[in-house]
Amino acid sequence: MTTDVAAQKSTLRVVADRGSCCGYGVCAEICPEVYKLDEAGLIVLDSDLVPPGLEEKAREGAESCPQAALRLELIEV
Amino acid sequence: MPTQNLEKRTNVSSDVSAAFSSVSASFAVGLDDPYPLYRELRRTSPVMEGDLMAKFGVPSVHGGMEDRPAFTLFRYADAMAVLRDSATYSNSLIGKGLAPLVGDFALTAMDGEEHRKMRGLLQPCFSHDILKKWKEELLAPVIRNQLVAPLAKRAGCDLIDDFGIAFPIRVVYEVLGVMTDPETAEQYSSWGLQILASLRNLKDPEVRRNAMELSQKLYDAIRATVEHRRAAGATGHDLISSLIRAEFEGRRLNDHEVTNFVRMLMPAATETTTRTFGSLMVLLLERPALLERVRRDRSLLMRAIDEAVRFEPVASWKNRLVTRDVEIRGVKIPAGSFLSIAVGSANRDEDVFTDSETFNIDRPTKLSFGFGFGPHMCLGLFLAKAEIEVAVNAILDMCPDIRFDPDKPAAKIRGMHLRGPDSVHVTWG
Repeated sequence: MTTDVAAQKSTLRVVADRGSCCGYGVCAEICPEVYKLDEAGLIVLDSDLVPPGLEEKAREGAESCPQAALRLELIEV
Repeated sequence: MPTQNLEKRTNVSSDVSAAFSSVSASFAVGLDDPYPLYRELRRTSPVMEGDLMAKFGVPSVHGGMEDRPAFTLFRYADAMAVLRDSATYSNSLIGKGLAPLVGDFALTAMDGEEHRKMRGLLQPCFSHDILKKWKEELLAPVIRNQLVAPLAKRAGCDLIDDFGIAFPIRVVYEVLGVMTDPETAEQYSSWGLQILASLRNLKDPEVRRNAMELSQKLYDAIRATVEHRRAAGATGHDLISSLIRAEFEGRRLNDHEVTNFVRMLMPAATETTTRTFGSLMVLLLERPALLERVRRDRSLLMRAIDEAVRFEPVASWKNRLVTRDVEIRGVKIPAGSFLSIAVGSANRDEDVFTDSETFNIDRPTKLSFGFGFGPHMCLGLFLAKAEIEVAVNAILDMCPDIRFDPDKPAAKIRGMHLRGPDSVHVTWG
């Protein structure tokens, strides 16, 4: 199972608008694997690719952004 | 309810209790349990003409809504869309309603770019790193050692009167770094709550004058502390110092702005936390098997807190001013209309939450609106949740077999706005 997941490719990419982010931190609370906060509490991404298996949580995190600063894009293969 | 004309007692806490009760009395009007009505209205008129809050006499903290067309929203998707879009749905009316409390510098009444700048300045003062520090250095020692430990030596208590009102107040003052004089701190709190309780009758000149007077006293006291701290270099971890140091896009806060912001915390950061804690405890105590599960596995506690905030949101209503003609679900809403958003209803929308009327801590993580949503979402929500987490953990550790006291009146979560239990009598040991 784990090897299967590891073999899968990301299908979603996060697009974060740091200019809109006010550091509410709701995304990081819902999906800390994808959404990180810097020292000022603003959004930072280690990688903009959503790891396989986290699509649902990442989507919930993006939709929950009070500033609408996050969206997810489908990666065309 | 014995809220008015209480004899002056030497114990300041009883003044705070009385002030808390008078807020409850002001807001606990209308239906004790509005949820069946909300369910019906979600189905039959999700965009209702008229203001349901006003129909039941629930006071609004917004001013200047008289003679405006009014509409009430009940569904999750509509609440989310409206709360997110502050350009179309302005929060400016709250400035008029809350004027005695917040003065001329009110984050909650700002919109657009002004709000974004100020929020960007304030948010880092509540960052996760600072919160972690507060949690370790302030919340645990104060809530656990100073408040719950002495309480646990007794055989039982009222979780509201004997603990729930006090702990958020203590935390706010610890966070502000003004805890050198507990009696003064409680006095400030009592003033803050009395102002909040008076909002319902602000049209009464005497009530208004009294509220303004208390508000000025509060302002003067806080202002003196702010000036003193700035003069001393504002180097500490306390909130006042970090507000003084805060900078965003070149903008900083002056003493007047810091004072106004801190004054707003007195009611905003205290009684709502008390009520959220109270409702969570009632929901757990009513379900002994679930309480036992949480006691054994504390990783579930934050889930329980989030679910309590969904299921029994304290601030059950939000209001907005509509700035341009819009249409929601086919209902035309003209510019200038006043909107009431039934957060308590949206949080139980069956389109979004399976078994929405069941308290279920195992449901998938999904945003609800108990702390509001959009640009004005509660700035202190993580602090509030951390406080409640520390409080409940301490209680479960030190009063392990806590249960309702069968000899006392049953706890009841009630009210349409600022909902919560008036008392939660428990026993242990």
